[in-house]
Formats: sequence, structure tokens, C-alpha cells
Amino acid sequence: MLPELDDNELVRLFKDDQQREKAFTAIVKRYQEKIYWQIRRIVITHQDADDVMQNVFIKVWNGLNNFREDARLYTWIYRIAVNESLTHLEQQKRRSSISFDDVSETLENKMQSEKGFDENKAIWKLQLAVQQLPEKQRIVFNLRYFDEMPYEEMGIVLDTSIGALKASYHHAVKKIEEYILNH
Amino acid sequence: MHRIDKISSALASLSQHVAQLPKNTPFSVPQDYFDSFPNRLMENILTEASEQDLMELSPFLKSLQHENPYTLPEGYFNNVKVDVTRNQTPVVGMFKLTSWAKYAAAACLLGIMAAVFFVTNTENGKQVAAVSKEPETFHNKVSQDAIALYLEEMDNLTAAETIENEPVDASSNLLVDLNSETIKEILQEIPDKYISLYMDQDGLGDVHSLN
Repeated sequence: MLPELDDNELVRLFKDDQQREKAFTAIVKRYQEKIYWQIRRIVITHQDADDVMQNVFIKVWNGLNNFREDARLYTWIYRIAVNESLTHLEQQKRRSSISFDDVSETLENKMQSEKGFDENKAIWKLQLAVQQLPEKQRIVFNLRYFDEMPYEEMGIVLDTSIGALKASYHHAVKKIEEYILNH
Repeated sequence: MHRIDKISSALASLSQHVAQLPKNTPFSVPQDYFDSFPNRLMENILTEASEQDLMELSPFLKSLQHENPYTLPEGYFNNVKVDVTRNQTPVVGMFKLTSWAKYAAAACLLGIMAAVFFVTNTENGKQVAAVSKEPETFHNKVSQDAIALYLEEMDNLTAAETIENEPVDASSNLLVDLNSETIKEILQEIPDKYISLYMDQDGLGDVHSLN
């Protein structure tokens, strides 16, 4: 019954104490996979992705009462997911006192530890190429390439102008192409 | 044109190589992860909510929540050995009797029951027989003198009760004969100041000194 309701109806149900848990569970089920993969592509390991997912949806639970109905629910959740993923990387960086380049290297190492990793396969090569990108370009590329998100929504998620996003995506694609051709 | 097609064609115009790369993910996820995640998440949220409640009620108590003031000897849990056999107490039945004792107990019990039955029946029989007799028979057994004596004793008892219930003159219980001369003598032995004090307390100040 609840999965048939649209996002706005679920948000309205969430504000009813009796229906809160049911509505929230329906929202989680609807978006968990998309959000998970968005997070996983940023933090790489499943354990980190699971931690970030928990934090994201706890924030959604805490903030949903104040969510404006004119905004789009999944855009808001994506925004939280991206911010939480970056915060997670930032915390890891601070904990081990490493620079951004070292973070990329660490993520690459993590990826190489993943089950079934094979750097000769195009599918892994693409992931390695994405890890070489600067943080902002990496996120823009992931949202556009894997999630096929329109620039307008991406602008809301990343709080960036459409022009800047297009430029970031353009640079990201060119860098990835270069990486693929050279490796 | 469909939005996704537009994105793909835009990518192809940027880079044919990248556009041809597979979009599926190489990462793996534990089996049933997405089935169990919503329940796990709800448990965490409810736990966090209860912790938040304690934080709002008393931050001090919250700060102490996970602190343990007690200490253990080092490596205690690695060296814990429970000697199960030493502490085992044999289980003994509450009424463990040998077979002859069981028969003896049963015989005693039967004997007691039979004796009680016999005595009860005999005495009851006698009483029932006595009650069922005619009233003349009962009267005939008691002599006229005994009845007269009984009635006289009853009269005496009634008279004694009547005397006990009559009001008693309190002065008759006093050990001293309180005539006016005696009272005067007693009062002369008491100093004036005590008498005045007594009269002041009882509002009798205008009474003259007796001495």
C-alpha cells in the first residue's frame, strides 16, 4: 500500500506519529539502493558505505519533519548523502593526517582490495579513472554518468550553477578518456 | 528525445571511449543487505532516540552511562574456569524410603484410620442413641435434689451480678475517713504558697488562706 504513494504523500504520512515508521521505511526502501551506490562510489568499501548510509538516513529521519514539500525528496536525500560521504572522507583524512592526493591513493588501494578486482577489465579501469579526479569532478561525473541526473537537480544537490556543473563534467570526461587510453 | 538518451548522446559527443564503457558496478554487496538494512536502520534510530532522551534529561548521567568504576584483575576473563563437578550437589528425592518402610508406613496409616473410624462410629452411635431417647427418660436420670441445687446456684449467681453492676460510692474506697477535721489537718501541713499556686491555676484566687 505505502510503496504506491508518491514522495509528498509519504512525507505527509511521516508527520503523523502513528504512521511515521511505516512511511520512513517505505522511503528508505525506495531510495536505499540509489543512495548506497552513490555513497559506495565515493567511499569505495562496503563497510564505509554502510556507516555513511546509516548516518544519511538518521539525518533524513531527524530532518523530515521540517522538510519543505515544494522541494524534491530524493534531491534532498542525495544532497545529504554526498555531504555525508565527503565528511566521512574528511574524517578519515584527519584521522590519518593525509593529503587529498593520499586520499585518492588510499581509495585506489581500497579498490584494489575489493573482491574480483582486475585492473585490466574496463569496468574496474573506469573506477580507477574516476578515483583520479578531483573531488568535485568525481561527484559530478558519478551523478551524471551513473545516476543520469539532470543538471538542474544536480545544481540543487551540489549547490552549484548549471554552467559550472557542465564544465566540471566536461573536464571529468576528458580526464577519464585520457586515463583509459593511457592505461 | 528521452532524458537518458540525451545524456548518453551528449557523452558520446564528448568522448566515444567513455560512452562505450560499461555502466554496471564492479562492487559487490553482502547478500540480503538491502532487505535487512531498513530494519537495522530503524533499530539504530530508536536506540539513538532513547539516548537523546537521556541526554536531554541529564547530560551528567549520560556522560556516566558507559563508565564502569569497578576494576577486574588483569586477564580475568581469559582465566575464568568454572569447576562444574565440584559444586554439583547430589539430587535426593524428598521421600526416599526403602520398600519395607513404605509398607510399614502404609500399614500404620491404615491402622490409624481404622482406629479413628471405629472410635468415632461408636461414640456417635451412643450420642445419637442418647439424643433420640424420650425427654422423660432424660429427666428420670437426674434427681429432683440435683435440679433444685442447680436452680439455687443460678439464683445466687444472678444476685452477685446485680450487686457488681450497682454504682459504687468513690469515697467508700478511700483508706482515710475524710471528715472536715481531717481535711483541715491535711491542709495545714501544706505551705500557703502551694495552695495559692493551686488556686491561681484553677481560678480560685479569691479564697482566703486556710492557715
